[in-house]
Amino acid sequence: MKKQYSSFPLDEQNPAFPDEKEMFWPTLMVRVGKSHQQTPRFPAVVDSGSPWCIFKSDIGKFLGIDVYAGKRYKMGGVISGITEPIYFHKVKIYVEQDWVIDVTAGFADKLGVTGILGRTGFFDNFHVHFDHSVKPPILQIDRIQKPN
Amino acid sequence: MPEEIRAGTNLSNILTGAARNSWIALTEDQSKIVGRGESLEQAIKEAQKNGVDDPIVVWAPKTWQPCVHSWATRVEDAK
Repeated sequence: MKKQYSSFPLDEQNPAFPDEKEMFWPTLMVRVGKSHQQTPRFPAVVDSGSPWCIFKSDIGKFLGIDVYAGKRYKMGGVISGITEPIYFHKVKIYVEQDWVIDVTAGFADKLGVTGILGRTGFFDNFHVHFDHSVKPPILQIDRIQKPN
Repeated sequence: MPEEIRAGTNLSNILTGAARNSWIALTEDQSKIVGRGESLEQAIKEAQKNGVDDPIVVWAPKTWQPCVHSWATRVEDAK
């Protein structure tokens, strides 16, 4: 499946790239599910830099998950020194209208986006290709067939 | 036959003027804001009041800025 990146606002332009007036992110429309409950659809960023799939805590709370009762870990980023707690739970992710995957996903209060599809849970279920030779760039994903 | 390429969504225009630090609910075609709330439930409820039963939702941060998404927080949020 191929999909164009989606554009998001850019509040402050980078003077090094004055032509960039908006941000293009590789996103897929997903729902997260637990038991028989599902969230509304939302755009989740496909991010090979993330070790896991991560969602804002509100997504888990909406599903009735006791977010802070999950296995707790700390996550840092590219700027050292700041870490945030992240709590893990087993959920289902409904990817576009095509696939359902079982994932142990993290939930974090201060995530700056609605959701992230990371390496464990997403990249081990899909071959992912990013094509930046065109504008907007194109994301391609193909489901990995695993033996039962 | 070449594989169909699904269109991305232009959320740039619609979200630029939208509330920040909020949940935003959009129509299914993502062309119009139909709800907003400090909680996800509030945004969905407002969307349903406006006739959209199954809205698209998105978290609008305080600032839309480039980031390494895997970073769990933004500097401004951590202060």
